[in-house]
Amino acid sequence: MEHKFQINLGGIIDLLSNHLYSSPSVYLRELLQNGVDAIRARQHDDPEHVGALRIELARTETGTPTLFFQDNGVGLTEEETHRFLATIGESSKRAVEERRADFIGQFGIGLLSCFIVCEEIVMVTRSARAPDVAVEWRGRADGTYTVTTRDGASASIGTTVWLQCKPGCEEWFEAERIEELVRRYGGLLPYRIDFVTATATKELNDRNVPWRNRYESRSEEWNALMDFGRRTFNQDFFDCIPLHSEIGQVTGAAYILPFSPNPTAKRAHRVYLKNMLLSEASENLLPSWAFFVTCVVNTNTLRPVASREAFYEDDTLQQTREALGGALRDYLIRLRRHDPQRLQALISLHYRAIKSLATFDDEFFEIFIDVLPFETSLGRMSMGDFRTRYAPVRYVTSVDTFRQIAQVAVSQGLGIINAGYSYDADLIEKLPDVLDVEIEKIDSVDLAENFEDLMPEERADIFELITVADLALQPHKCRSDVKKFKPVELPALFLVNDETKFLRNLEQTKQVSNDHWSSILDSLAGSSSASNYAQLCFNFSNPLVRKLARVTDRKVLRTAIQMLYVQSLLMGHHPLNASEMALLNTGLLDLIDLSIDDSNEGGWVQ
Amino acid sequence: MSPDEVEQLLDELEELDYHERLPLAERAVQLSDAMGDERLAWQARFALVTAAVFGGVPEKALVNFAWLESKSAQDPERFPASRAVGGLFLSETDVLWAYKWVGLHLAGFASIPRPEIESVLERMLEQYTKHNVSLRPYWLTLARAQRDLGEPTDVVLASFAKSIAAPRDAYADCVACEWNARVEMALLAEDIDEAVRCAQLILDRPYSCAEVPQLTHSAMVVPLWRAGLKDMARMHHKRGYEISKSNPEFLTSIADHLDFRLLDSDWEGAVDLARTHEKWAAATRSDYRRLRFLVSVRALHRMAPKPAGLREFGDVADVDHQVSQLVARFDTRNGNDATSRWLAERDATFSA
Repeated sequence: MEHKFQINLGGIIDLLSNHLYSSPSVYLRELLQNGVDAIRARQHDDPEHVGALRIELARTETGTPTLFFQDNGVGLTEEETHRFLATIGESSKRAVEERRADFIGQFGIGLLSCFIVCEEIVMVTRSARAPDVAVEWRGRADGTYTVTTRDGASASIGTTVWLQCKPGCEEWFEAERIEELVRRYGGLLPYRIDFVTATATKELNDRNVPWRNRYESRSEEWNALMDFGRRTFNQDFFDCIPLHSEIGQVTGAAYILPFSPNPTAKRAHRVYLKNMLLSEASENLLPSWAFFVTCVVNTNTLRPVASREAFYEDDTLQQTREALGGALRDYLIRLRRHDPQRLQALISLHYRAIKSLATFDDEFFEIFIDVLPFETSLGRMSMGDFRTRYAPVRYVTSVDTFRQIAQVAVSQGLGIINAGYSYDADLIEKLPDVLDVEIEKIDSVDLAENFEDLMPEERADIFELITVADLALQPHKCRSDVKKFKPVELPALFLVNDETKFLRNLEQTKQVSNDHWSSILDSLAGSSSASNYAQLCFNFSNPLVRKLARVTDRKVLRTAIQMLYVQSLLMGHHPLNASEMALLNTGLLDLIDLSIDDSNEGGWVQ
Repeated sequence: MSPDEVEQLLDELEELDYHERLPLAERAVQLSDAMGDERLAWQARFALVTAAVFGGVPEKALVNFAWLESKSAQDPERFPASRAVGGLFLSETDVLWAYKWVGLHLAGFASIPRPEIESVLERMLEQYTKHNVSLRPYWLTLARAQRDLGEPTDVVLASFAKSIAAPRDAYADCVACEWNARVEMALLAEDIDEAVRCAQLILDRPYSCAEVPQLTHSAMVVPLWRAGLKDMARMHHKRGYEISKSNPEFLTSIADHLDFRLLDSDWEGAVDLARTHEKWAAATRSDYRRLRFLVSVRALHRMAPKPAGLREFGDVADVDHQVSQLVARFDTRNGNDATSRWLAERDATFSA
């Protein structure tokens, strides 16, 4: 035997009105949406009809705030009035997909949200399709309702909803709040919205939306768009770009931020669906590289997800995104070709976004790469300037490595780009393919290969130094070498590449690991042919190192080498571990001791 | 640098994309170690493991997880393996959670012997059992490891069945990942209808996280093409590549997208894609990740007329040689010929 669920309508209404919606403010959004849909339905029958909405705030004799919300839309017949509540229980899928097409079902769901702020809703409606009768519907939060009819002449065509504020909801009936909410949700609606209070009547919506107007000139359009952006976001922008896409039926404008944004910060766009505010934090409308703009757009066909903060990732959205991204890309290329000064200003703020686009767009890369800035061993400069001075284009892929070798590179007369920042390495690595430019990725070990070898007689002089250094540095997994390099002021350079760093880290982990992990780590390291030893390269061009090579006291020599090791770590921005910190402490004391001990005649060579 | 500054560094890196976090996380670990601050080093290593897993450098995740797991084993009071509250709420990554990541990547290193991989999985089982939490993640991790070690499909699917039969708790993957696992397993079972259903569900909801739907899109492209659903395959390729192309973690997904372009006879697109991402494959220490990309490059050499501009892996003979070597190493390590069979099956699809 088949049974039927018993539905507690009062409970459903409570669920919908108090839990489904995120804020009581949605009651106004839903009233606006109902009014707009009713007007559209009437315009469908009568294209000449001029839609209008009127909101009136009053108080009862006892001072309770009361809101009248009136539209001159198509209105409801008595049969439709009964039917609209019958559709509440239909599936959410239907609600999403057919809501726009089903005026009645949508009307009922929207009206229910008013129970968030009132106990009873009174609706008087007169249908344009059956104007002889007006219908009064009274619904209560317990799920009961009554319907009465009266003569059509007693009401104008359309619908008026009457809400009396329930205790505790007064803030949602304050004139300023209502004004703010109506402007927010319905600011772009093409129908006049009047707001009537005891003291004034004012029109709330800005029907002067720039992309609906025609302009005599581009500058006039630009001024209108910039003004609209300023009013909408309450801030000035660097520039604006009109947006239009047939796919998704999107129209609006992108505003270039007047500051450098964090690339990973979510860019919230203000999106209207059929001119009603859908979201002020829509995320996936523009390509990921377009983080330098915020936009305001209206779409007629994109499908929002339930949270309203994004659109469904479907082909329409993808094509829309490509079209909007194309508009931004065209703008940038126009600037590059026709307004280099403005482009420079934009690049100084938004080079990251431009680099992001250039990473995966060869044509754009070719146009822009030479004006994009990079940090180099000679300061910040454009790729164009850099590659006219240095060939091949040498770069390092980490900020740490750059810090460690920049000074030495400059002294060697080498230009090096710090490609440790987002996109930089990817861009440089495109140079050979797109522009046939030679590139060379280097690290500190590679750099040292350019250092000058010692003459055979000089090598004999440093035998003792190397021997003592290897012994002194062995506990720190470091070998030594001696070369000549610039700057001569630098006595030694600590050299380590990524592979060695990885193996050193692995080795360090093994010290604290149990046998089980130790064996796995050995297996992991097993495939590497690299050494886990770093290198301390002494600079034989440095006078101190030459002196050291002549020191005969091994204890003194050892202490000096250990101190140079620590100093080279500090110069290279390598943090000191506990044993290195201990070297520093004891080494300093030893050196002080040596320097004041008169009897130490076999020590320092004067 | 003070501990406060390291903590600030750790906060700052949360703002970055995963693959960009790694240098900062490594710096935080170095500094914490240098200060001898184990509590901070513990925190920094979790940040490093997370960045390494989701930034495509699994070897660094393994090394630093070894440190975390060992510390936890030595001093469980100070470094608890589980931070779950009541088994239902977990606000930060802990050792139990990170086991899932490590378990997923171990088999990708051909140099790690099979018994060592199996012993990590046993240790994971012990830890999950000891902390009295659901074995749902363990069975899923085991299923994936069995698949990667070349076990028969029915063995893998049996483990997966145990996973989905176990309750969800604080250690269960997010909903997006769980549906994606169903896609993976349906494809393994060659149940294309079920894979399409689950993938569509992910896209319709939409469910998303750090790896989904990127992994879903890439997993679907070739099976859909082979099933004759070319438009759907094209949709997955287009959407998937767009959201995967910036993060080296998706190297194997990129290989799937390269396969799609080959099947679609988009030679120029295939070369472009291979050229753009081959440096990721050259840089990875994960043998599986490199092999997966290389077999697609190998197909590119066989199918596309004179692919030009590839730099990292040499000519067709060099690529063939590297692929053969890697396949042999996996077969030897796994103790079966699953990787050779996989390559032969691919060759049947990707032939000139």
